[in-house]
Amino acid sequence: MKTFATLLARAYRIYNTHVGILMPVVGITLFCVFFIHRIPYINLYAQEALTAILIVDWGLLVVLSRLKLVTQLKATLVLVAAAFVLRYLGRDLWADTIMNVMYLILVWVCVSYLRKK
Amino acid sequence: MRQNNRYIDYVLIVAVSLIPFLWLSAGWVIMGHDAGTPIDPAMHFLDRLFTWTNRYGFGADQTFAMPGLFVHGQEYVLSLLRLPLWLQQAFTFSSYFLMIGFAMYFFAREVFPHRTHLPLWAAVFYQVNHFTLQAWFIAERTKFSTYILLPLLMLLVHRIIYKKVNLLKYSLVSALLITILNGGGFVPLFGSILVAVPTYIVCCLIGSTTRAQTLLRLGIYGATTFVVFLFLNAYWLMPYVSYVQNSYATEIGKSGGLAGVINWTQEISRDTSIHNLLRLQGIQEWYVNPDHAYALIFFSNDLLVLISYLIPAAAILALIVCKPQERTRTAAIFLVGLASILLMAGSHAPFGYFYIFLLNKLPGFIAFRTPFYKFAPGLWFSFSLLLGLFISHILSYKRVRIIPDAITRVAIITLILAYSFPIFGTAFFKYHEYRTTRIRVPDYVSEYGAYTNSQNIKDARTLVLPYRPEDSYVESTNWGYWSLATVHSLLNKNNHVSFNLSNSDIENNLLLNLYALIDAGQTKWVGEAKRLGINYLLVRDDVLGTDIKKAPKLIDTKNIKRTLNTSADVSLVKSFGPWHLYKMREVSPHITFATGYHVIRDYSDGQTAYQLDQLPSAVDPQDLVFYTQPHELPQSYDIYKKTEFIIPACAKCDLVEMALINDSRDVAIVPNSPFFVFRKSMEADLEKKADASIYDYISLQTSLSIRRLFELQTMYRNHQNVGDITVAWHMYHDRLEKLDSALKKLLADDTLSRAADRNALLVKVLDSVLMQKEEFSNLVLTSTGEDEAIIKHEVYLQLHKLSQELQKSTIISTDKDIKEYAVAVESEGTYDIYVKNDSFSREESIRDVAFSIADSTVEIALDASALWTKLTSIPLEEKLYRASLQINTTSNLFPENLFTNLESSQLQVTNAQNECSQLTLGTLRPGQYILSYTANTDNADTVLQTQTKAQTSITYVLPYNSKVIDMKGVSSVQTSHKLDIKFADTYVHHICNFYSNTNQDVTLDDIVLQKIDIPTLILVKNNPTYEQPPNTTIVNRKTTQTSEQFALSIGKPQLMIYNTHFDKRWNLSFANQKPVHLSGNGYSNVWTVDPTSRPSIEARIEFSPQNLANVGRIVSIIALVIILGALILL
Repeated sequence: MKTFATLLARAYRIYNTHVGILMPVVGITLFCVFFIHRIPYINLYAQEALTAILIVDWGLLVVLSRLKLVTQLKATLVLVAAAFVLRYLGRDLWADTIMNVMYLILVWVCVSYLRKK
Repeated sequence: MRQNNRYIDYVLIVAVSLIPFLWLSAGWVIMGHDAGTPIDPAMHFLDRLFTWTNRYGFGADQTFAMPGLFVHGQEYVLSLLRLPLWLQQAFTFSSYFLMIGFAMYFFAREVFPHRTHLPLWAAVFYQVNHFTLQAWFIAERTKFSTYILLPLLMLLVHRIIYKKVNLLKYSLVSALLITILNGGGFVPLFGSILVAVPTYIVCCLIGSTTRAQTLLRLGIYGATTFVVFLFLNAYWLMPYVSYVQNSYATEIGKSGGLAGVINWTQEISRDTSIHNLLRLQGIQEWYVNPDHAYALIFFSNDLLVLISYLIPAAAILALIVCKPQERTRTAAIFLVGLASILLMAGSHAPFGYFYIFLLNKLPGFIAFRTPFYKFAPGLWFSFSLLLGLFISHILSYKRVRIIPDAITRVAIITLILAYSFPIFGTAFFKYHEYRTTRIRVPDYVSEYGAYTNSQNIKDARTLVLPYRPEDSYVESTNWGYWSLATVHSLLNKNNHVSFNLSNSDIENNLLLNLYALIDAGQTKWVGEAKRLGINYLLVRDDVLGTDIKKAPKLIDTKNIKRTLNTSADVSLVKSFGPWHLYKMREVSPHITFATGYHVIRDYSDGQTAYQLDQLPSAVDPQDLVFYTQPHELPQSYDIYKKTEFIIPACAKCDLVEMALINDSRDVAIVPNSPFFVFRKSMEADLEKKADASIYDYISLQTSLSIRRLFELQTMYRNHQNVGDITVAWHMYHDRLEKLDSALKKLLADDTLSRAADRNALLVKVLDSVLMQKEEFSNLVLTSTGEDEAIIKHEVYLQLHKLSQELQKSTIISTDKDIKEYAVAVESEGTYDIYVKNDSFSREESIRDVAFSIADSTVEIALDASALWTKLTSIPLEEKLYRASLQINTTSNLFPENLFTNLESSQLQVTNAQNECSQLTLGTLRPGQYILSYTANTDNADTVLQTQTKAQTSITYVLPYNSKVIDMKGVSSVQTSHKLDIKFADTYVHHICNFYSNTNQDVTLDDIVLQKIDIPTLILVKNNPTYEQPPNTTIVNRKTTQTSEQFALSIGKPQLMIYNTHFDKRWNLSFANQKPVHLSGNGYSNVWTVDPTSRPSIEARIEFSPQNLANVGRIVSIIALVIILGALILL
């Protein structure tokens, strides 16, 4: 029982740290990468796009989590600019993907701000 | 903030609120489409005080519309000032602008007290943006009410979180606000509030040290608000419970069930990518309506596109530049927007599966079938504040601060209004080349409304003519009105009936028959009008016909007027411009007594059952007609039965092959997937549910066997290993065995119960089995292992056995000249059997047919001079008979011109709404046709959508309502399309590609268009022991919108007809009897009334939810008085 309580406390501590919040994201990403094509209701294009987004996003999050939140926000501004350029060049799918990534980063940054208050 | 600046802000918000005065002037009003703005607001409001309305069809329950009291109440109050309608609308719309602006202003000032320019920006941006602009074209007042409510509730919640406030006071105010700004009681409109408020609370509480206390306070506030809200809204909640119990399933059914809702959600979410939403776009109308007034400019103008990207950039910058003490609030507000985006995107990737999951699993979530509009206010709320924060930061720079405040403030609103520039014109009301919601209502319409209101004809039923054969549910006039809502439903409380979406199918069919009789000048129309309780006829010469590309034409009413003007049964009462009101000489009372009854059991999906004047045996206007067997009718009423008609279904006479795929062929979970265990458990649940009915069970096993087949096809396509494929074959075999044993059980049951349904089910199962056999042959070629070959062979044998058994026991037509009918005889006797001469679609007026039933065969020539040809008269027992009608054709019975054999057609189907490929079918006359062809493609990801439309109709095809050809993983698909042509025109088959971003090269082969025969057969059994009931009259009738009170004397059992739309909540109280309540004549309420010992007994018919509404009203008023008193004291 004691061991279980210790384990739980440790798990909570890990969760409560900066890396801890990354874990569910990593978990969900891995889940999606491997099993996304098994999820019904989403068509082939969406499955591929989602997988791509999540791989890119996971990578980005790992990198971004080492940066300051303000720097991360500045990075999203770059992504908005990139999306604009890509759309202008007719690469709508890429623009979509980049904005999806940006969306997740924004959620991440906002939640981080709230946790740090 | 300085006091002066506040006043400048107030003035500017008020100035922006005057925008509606730019749209409306000198008679121009917003009306039509989905606007629901009334022509006579006073009448519209007063009608809503009742739970039953006569404005729609034969009467309708309007309990769901009662919360509209405040939206329409405001219009009612303005109408008391006797201002012109356009001025009333301008004031109403301005008030919404004003409330939107100030609601946001107060919230912004509360949350960011040190940002001087932020509240003004937030308020004006919240007032004027793409979302509100789109909503204003149909003046969506209910949507605006919850849009106003959102910042107000957020303000109250914010104060509760951050200040010590009086919770009771805040609860009372909240309950009052929700009661007034109630979105017309339409719960989905609260979607954004349900997302935004909890998100904001959670965000504010993360890391808070007083979390527990705040949560407790919020809990008390929420619970108190809820309880107070219940009392305040008892006036509609009490009757609404009865409405939900009665109509929820029907409403879901109307929207196509869960599958229909998911399809709709997928269509509406096609362009709601996060990319679009973050730029505050993604509004469905922009993308699907090629005639959208301004969308194209926002897509193509480089400056506007750039601004759309600056919006998310500015929102992000707001988070960067905000002061440390503002960071939590800013992040919380940002998350409100991001959470809204998640749901607004609906089923769009990448998180669309989450939304579909909620639709499937969360009870009640199905109500959020249009995600964008339901959750969008949260996004605009969030971005209004974030952009305001960023702008406020820019304006706080020293160099900018030297500019006078008034100028910066005016500049702010100029910027916002410039980005939403269409709001200054009236072009944005235009939603189609020839249609706009900004119209002028001609004087004669209002004159007619006032006249019919003032005359003593409020109680009367008026038939509205002419019928609009094309796009018939829509009302369209030459003064610009176009809507599913009829003009007269906006005019007054009187009962007008017309072919309309709010009617039941039977009601519409009965009306269609009446229209046809009047148009043809047949005197029988008078009897049919009486049966439908018609007292007046309104002929309108301003109704437009088909929505053709060129100028639409008026419908010619020459024939109608000739019939009415020459009839001795009607007289012209008055003309109002192009509207002519006629009155029937003999008044049809609301309450009548049947002179006998007929039972018509129609399995044919045709019109014959409703063409009562054309049946081979007479049906008098005072006779009652039951369209289902009235099992509840006591035996003592059998003597009043005159005739029994059976119209059997011509079993698969159209010869159209089964629509191959309901589900997608490209299945995601196959038997060796890790998630298959969930699939299995889901199937087990479905089996358990379907176990109660053998019909449901067989349907389920049929669709699951198809599913297994598709899984196998997917596995072969993905080159999965032989062992797994063999297991999948076994699972497919098991499914077929289950289907086989269930079918045996069904066939062993030789009772007559649901015999016709049984045959219809067997036809479907046989179709499916034959289709599976055909698909099977494709898999045989890819055999790889020995075990696999064995089980595959067994599957084939099973399919073969099933098809043999089914072909033996199913009544089904397999030849275009031999028509098979399943005739379920429920009462034995001698039946006269007729065939309808005009139900043969071929040209010849005379031909020979051979008819056989119960081992008797007759050969007979059709009688061209009569409507029906009597085939035989034969005694039949209570059982299911196979009847067949052989059309003895000769070669010249198929003239060449009935076929259009087209050459192979090479098509490139592009992914664009306006660029569907077209296959011109030529001129077609009314009738049933089959268009069949083989579609070939090299692209393994092809999904096509098809629709056949008249060339003169609107040419663009909407993704919904079209037939899907799913070619995923197959190179060739044989497909048949049944065309039910209602009017002669040149028809075009559109083939579209809405799903793939790449162009699809498709070749069509073996294109055949063929006209088909579906002859109507009818069996007639007259009752030789029929007795006519004595005449009965009612006296001392007093009536309201929801009740009738009268006295009557009954000497013998009677069938009382109350000619209002059937609803089981209409109750008859009479002499302590328990009358049987039935639906008769296809629409009306019918009660059995037994004799009483005393003469002249009081009777009362009432719509029971009205009593609940009356009690609820008292509760609400008492609650309101107490709350106002408490608020004054607090």
